[in-house]
Amino acid sequence: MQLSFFYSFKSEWLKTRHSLASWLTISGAFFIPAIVLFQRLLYVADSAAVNASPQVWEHLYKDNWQYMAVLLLPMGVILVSSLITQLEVKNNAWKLVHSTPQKLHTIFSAKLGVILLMLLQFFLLFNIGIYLTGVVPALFNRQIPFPGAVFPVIAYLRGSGQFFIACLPIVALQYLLSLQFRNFLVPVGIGLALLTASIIAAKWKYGYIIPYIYGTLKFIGKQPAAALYTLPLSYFCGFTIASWLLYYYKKQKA
Amino acid sequence: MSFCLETTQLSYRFTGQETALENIHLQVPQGSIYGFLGPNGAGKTTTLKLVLGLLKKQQGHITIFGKPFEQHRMAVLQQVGALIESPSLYSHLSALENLQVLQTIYRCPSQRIHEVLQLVDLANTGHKKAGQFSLGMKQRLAIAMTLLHRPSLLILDEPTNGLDPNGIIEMRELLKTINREQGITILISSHLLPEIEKLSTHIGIIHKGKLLFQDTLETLMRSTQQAPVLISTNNNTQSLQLLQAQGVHVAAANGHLLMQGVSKEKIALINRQLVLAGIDVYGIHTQHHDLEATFMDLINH
Repeated sequence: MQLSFFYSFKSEWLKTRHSLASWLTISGAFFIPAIVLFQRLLYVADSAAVNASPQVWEHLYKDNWQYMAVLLLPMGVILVSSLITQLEVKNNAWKLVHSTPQKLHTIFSAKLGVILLMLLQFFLLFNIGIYLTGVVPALFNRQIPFPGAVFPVIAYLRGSGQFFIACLPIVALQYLLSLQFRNFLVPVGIGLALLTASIIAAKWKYGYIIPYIYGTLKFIGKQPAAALYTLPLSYFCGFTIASWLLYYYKKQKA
Repeated sequence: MSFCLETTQLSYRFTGQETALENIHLQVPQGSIYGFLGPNGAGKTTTLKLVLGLLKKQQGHITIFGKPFEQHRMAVLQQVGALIESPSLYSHLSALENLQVLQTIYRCPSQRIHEVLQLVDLANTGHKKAGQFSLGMKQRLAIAMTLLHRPSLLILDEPTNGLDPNGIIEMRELLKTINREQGITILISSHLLPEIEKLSTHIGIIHKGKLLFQDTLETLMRSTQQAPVLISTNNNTQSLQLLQAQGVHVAAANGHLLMQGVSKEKIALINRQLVLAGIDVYGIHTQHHDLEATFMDLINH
């Protein structure tokens, strides 16, 4: 079983080569750091002061995440989750996948696994991008010192981990929708509508019940304790189980 | 005779629609090229999708390689290559990468990729994306994907759709070669009668969800000996009376006399009798009865 999952996962990962989803993951991860970097190269005095500060990495973390957390990350997750699933619809390939010797739960979990790995890949590249926004200005301008403080790997990992968990309900619901609807616009439209609703509801005291809101709440730091891990993980499990049941009992598999 | 694929009492109904398949008893002999003929909407694709588990079976049994499909789905699919309707290719990947996707699942040696690319004459496509291929190249790549894991049974649904005459000939030769040299059983559906006639050893004819005929091509063509015979004379009324009086099953039709199931010897005898009765016989001919005529007869009656 584990071996067949490994091969199915590898096969699914091969499909992402040159795909829009993989380009979106890479370019999306470096988009905000590139803008921040450009800004830091432009405002030399400010950059020098920040790099000399012991809180340089906290400063850069906030600079980068403030644009990413609320809008771009959830939007990217919506698009990538839908694009990966829609690869089969776009290429008329569900019938190919379902006529190969793979169990349905292996296909389902391998595809979901690929989306999650792409999300991890995004976080890794985004953190590398943040690191580069601290180091690169010092390479190009002697007036800017290299950051004096040590890069806080653990703190960055913890922060990224919490944002990762905040994204899980989005991944699971987008996956469910993309498996059910052949038209790409339906899952993306529903996803963007829910994201908009969650941004509007960010200050509402019961806003934390909206599954797409956890990235925003994590960034503004006003979430109830349950919204950090329990609620997003519960939503993820619930949506994944519902998604599997709908996929398994779908009448036509191609 | 051992059957590579067999269905019994296979029936299917789409939600809210009339029955799509009714008691289909498909029997595909080992090593054959089985032409599955039928007009559009006859139920060919539905049958093939059921056989591959792409549609959930509602009634009947499917046995492949002597094993019930549902209980042995994984083992059976490991030995089956399938191309249903239009080719399923990842348009953003090259031919090589498309094959790598399947090679990973089937766990076959990577050198096999180059073998099948050579076989379908796509070895020199390099990094060109499958989305930029011509339809003929796409079909050939799809065939390569079905052959990658050395299947024992190929299930091809309308593989020549959209191909130009040259592409159709190439496809036919390719299928004949792999059947002859590798002993692969091929189940091929089509609505193109000449293609099936040139390619198949066995034929199944389906219409409105019912299997009307199933046997070898020779058996089907042998039925031409029982083809209708048309006689033209200067006096059809008198001829009709004369022949009916002798117990011949004959009817007047469009200015001719039409007889069914008459042997060559009997035709000669009837001719002599008409001439002896003073009737001028203008012509006697057997209605041309090729696969197309047989097919039309079957689906119209």
